[in-house]
Amino acid sequence: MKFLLLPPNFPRAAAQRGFTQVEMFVSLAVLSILTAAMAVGAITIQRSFQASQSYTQKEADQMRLLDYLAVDLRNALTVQTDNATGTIQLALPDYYQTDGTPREPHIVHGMAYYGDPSQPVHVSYSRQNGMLVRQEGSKTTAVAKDVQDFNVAFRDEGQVIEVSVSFVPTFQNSGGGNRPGTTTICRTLLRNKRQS
Amino acid sequence: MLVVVLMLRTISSLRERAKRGVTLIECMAAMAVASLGLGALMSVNSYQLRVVHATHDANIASLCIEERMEQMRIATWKQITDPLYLRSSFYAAGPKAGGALTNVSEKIIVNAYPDATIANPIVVEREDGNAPAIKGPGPEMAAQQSVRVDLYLSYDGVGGLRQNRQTSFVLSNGGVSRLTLPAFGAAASGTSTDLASASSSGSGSSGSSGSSGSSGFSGSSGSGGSGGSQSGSGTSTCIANTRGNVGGLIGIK
Repeated sequence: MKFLLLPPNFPRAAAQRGFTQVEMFVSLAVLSILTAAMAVGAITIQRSFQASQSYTQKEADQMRLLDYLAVDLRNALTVQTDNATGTIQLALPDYYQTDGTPREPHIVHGMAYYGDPSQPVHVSYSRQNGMLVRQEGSKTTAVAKDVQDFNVAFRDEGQVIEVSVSFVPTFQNSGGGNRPGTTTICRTLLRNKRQS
Repeated sequence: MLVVVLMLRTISSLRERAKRGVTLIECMAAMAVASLGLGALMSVNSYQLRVVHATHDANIASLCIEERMEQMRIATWKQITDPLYLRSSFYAAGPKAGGALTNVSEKIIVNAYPDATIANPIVVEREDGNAPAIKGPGPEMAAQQSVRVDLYLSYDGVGGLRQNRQTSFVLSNGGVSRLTLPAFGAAASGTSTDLASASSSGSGSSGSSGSSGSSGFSGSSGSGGSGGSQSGSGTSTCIANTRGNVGGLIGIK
């Protein structure tokens, strides 16, 4: 280190005498600290980016699931929820014909019916192999993938269904109570369900 | 030849320099440059986290607004044009979806539609921690056929910045159809009377069931038929009349 402080015209022999062991230790220690700090910083940033990406992805899945559910719930004639399995089953009017064109309703005693009222369209949402799927007849749609940590809960209030979805963010210990800030609640009015 | 000599000299010079190693100052300068890069990445990461947080808040706020809209749809005409109901029941508690938001304030404005000038608006505000207050009683609103409802929600966003969400929709006494929305065609006065009578039975028997739903639907099926509306809108009209009103979303921003 001394040679850094030496004037340019200092004898060449003195400049080439090398470092002492202490100088080497000090410089190595400084370099090690700096390198370690940079490595830790780089790794932390990378992990943070991954966590943010995962959080954003899960939140998008969460919103997509709630949107799917809200659309179906608004049309639902009947709803059955099962919190133990996180499953919801709905019966929807048969609005569309097999070719996808809208079906004209027929009015009976002031009530609108689509297709055969005794054969509504049955839709269910359930968890299958780490995915949340929407099943309509034989047609299965994966609404969200890789959502093993999703917790979907339903609350049936008669005319309103409350759906809450939460997940475990990355780098957070899993467990029932470790979902702060990720719980999203959507309350949907069952427009087609007749009030009793 | 000259070029070859120059190249050899340059290579020789570089070799000598490589043997000499790097000085501590050079090393520290390199570290400083690397640290600056890392610092820039850190700030980008921090900004990204703020964006993630802000997006989450915005999603929650949208769900809150949606929840309020659903609340309005289940209410009867009498209720949605009653400032006391809006203050004491509608705003009795904060939106369930809004648990993650801080310092939430809400406001609802009910205006006559399409001509807002024919009646004074109902304005009810609810600020976080305070009881809801009626800012405008709008006594003539119950006599209107359609109203435009503006819902406002504001909350403390990332960095303490106040964020706002707003949505507007139209509710009609007896259901939204071509007959109650001038934008879809001229309203016929005779049919309006029919709708009003049909809806009054719906709103009068608020919370009651099949019978009020059927009577409401009778009115709207007629309107849907005469207007020639598509099946989708016919369905919503039917649903709405079960409760004496219907919402048509205009937009969220």
